[in-house]
Amino acid sequence: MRLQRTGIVAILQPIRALLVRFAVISLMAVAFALMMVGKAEVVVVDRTRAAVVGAAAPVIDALSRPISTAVSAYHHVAGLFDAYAENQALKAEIARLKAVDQASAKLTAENAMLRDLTRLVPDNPVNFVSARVVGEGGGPFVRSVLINAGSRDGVARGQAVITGNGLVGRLTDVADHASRILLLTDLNSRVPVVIEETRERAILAGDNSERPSLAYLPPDARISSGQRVVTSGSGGVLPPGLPVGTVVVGRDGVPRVQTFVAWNKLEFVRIVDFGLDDDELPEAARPPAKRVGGAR
Amino acid sequence: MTPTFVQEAGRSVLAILPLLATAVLVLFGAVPIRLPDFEAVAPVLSLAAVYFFAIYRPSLLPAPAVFGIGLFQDALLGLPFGLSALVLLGVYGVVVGQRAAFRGRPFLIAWAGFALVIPIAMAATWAIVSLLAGTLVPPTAVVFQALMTIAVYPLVNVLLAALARLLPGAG
Repeated sequence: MRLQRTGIVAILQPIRALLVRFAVISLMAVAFALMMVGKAEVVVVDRTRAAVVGAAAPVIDALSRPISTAVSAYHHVAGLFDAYAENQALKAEIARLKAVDQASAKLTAENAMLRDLTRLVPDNPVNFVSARVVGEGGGPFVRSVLINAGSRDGVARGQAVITGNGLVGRLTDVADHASRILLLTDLNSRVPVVIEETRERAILAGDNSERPSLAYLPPDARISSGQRVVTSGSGGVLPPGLPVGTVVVGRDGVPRVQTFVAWNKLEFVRIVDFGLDDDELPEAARPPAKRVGGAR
Repeated sequence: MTPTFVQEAGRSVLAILPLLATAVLVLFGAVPIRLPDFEAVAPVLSLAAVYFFAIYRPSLLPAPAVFGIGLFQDALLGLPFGLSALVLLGVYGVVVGQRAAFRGRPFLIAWAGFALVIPIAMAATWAIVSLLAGTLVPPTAVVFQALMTIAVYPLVNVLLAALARLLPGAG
């Protein structure tokens, strides 16, 4: 076969193969270098990420419409079958909540009175920006979602993201009208929390599993399943008292947190600006520039 | 507007179609699917596309394009910047070198090759992410994602083969 080819092809073929191999290997070296550089937090890399997120979010949103229509149709049909059981469960829930409601009304009144008595300095006013989840992050390796609000909508990197149920995560890459939320479950997520009942402090450390673990608990901590976990406000990055989840002690004895937020049902979120400005914080309390809270 | 200009413009539009198609596949990887009791692990469609072009038409998706697709995927999904570029180029380089083994053979051979390459690529990704994070990433979802990716390959193959037929020149 080879002998029948014209001379020029016979010469060019191996050269071309060599060129391809050279291109592949040198580009792999560049990719590797980028990965190492990117770990050291470079502005250009951050800007590129934000730009890609900003450009891609509307496209992903458009692509997701037919799929979300199909999924909501499925939910609708599935919901019909569950309607009776759900109705019963909701009635029980309402009965329980009525009692809670009364207790809470009493506490609110009492609280207001006590605040008045002690002249407590009120917390900073809180601003909300609501956004819709338009895209999902990198599968098993990164836990993040894309939302359709960005710096032009008044949100900024590092701000807390919540739903009605609890804390979701923090903003990382922020474009004009889109941003990425680093979820609590991500490998790089570290959030200072406190066990509400015992006031014991810990760091909620994501590991890409559904349930982040509680790290740096004091050795004599009294941990048991079902205890509520809220943000502690240490470090001044997040406000104290945001609900996070409940403690679950697994068979391996590692305390983990079942979050209040259901990760496969994230649709709308609120970005909260608690007025905790970086400039007002002492140097040591400022979040790291990238992957806020990403202490490694 | 001479016909030659139109032809040339048409040709350059056609030339970026494979890149665009692969980019769209990457975008699909970020589309949220919310099913109850189902932790959505989207297949890595970019791996399927790069594998396809590496075997059948490497000239349609040259190494710099693979590099660009990798960086795009990293930025979009929030992966360590350069990771996907590295892994996709690795797959591309290996498969381009072995393409003679697949060309003109039945589709099942190519699929089997894919089923061999993907676990290695995913394991490499897993190892790099774990090294960078300094802790082991739970491997269950990674295995599941590899299986999903292998399962959807025939679909990607059909779509891209249809696209490749539109384009001039045998790779």
